[in-house]
Amino acid sequence: MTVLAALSILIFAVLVFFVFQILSLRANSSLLKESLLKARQRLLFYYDISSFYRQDLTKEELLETFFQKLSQVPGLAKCSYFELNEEKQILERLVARGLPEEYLTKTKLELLHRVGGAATGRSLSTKKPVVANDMEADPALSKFLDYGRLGGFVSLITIPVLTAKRSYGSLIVYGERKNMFGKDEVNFGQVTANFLGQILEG
Amino acid sequence: MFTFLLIILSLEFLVLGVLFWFWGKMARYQMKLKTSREELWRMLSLFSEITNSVLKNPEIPALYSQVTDGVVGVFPFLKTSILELNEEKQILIPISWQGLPKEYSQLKTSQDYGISRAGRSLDGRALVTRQPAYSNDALNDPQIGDSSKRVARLLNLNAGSAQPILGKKKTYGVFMTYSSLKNVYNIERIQFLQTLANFLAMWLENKQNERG
Repeated sequence: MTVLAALSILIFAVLVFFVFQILSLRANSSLLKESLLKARQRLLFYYDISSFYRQDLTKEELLETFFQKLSQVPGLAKCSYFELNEEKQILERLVARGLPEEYLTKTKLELLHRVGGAATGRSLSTKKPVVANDMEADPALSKFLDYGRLGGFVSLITIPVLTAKRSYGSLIVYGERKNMFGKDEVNFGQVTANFLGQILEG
Repeated sequence: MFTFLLIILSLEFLVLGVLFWFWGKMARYQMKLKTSREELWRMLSLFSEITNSVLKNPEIPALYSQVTDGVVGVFPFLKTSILELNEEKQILIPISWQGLPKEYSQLKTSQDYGISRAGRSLDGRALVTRQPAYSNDALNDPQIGDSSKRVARLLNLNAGSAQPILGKKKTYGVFMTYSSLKNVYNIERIQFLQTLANFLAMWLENKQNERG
């Protein structure tokens, strides 16, 4: 009888172990599904943007369509595109998505994105993405915190839009939370900007 | 007490059996998810590699090789090739290929195997419809012509896909993939391959405009 009781306790322990294993597998599966969905959405976005370039659209229409699709990708609802005016050496905002009107009006009047200055210009002059996962912590961006509050973002990533022969401008994605932009987001942004560069060059 | 313990033990074994079965099922499901996720992230990485490398202004054959090699890296069960359209002769000429034997080039450029056979071969169908074409069981596909099947048999291929490389003004060629396995294509993979073909077309067109 003692042996049976001991066996019963042992099996109960194994049961508990399996229950935890199953719960852990379930949690992992949810994470995996989320990651799968994210990758699928990104691939579908690339497919979409690579398909409409053949249509006979004006530059404005191309940009509108491109950014409409980009803002539909989860986490990228707030984004904009600044184009380099080579003559004046300033960056002009051509498209903005998901940003409040008040922010757009105010920044249009007050912000002059000189090349080499803030994140937008910095990414273009260095030809590398600038990731600010916490604007407060970035000395070059902390002066723009008020604009961030107005626009509803605390982090941002700016990616230069380049081709082999030209720098077109900068693509910006704004984050509502801190630390939104990891390595995958930077890669995604770079591929998106590279696609945009080829589309604009066409 | 002894009987009670026996009943408890039997119930425990029963529950353990069910849990073990369920655990196995979930573990298999998770493995499947992991494999899919890895494949999708490999696809995304390839886009990153290719779109970044065009910034260095590579030569056309170099980028073709990067695409054909890269796709085989993502899907090791695929063989790839890029065929350029010779508009004058209306034939497709293999420029870059990966995983295919030497005979492939001769077979593809041989006279009776051009896009004149449009619609009866995957490449021809893709060029005529301007849409990707694929077959998961090419040898038993009634839409595929005999000459294409002959090539497939010679090269031991059972499935294939063709993605047209279409610019705004010009058709550049076809990006083909093949496999000796059946049922390797789904919508997701075809969309990925077509996106690569579209990116190639955009880049080729820009390169041509640059050269005037």
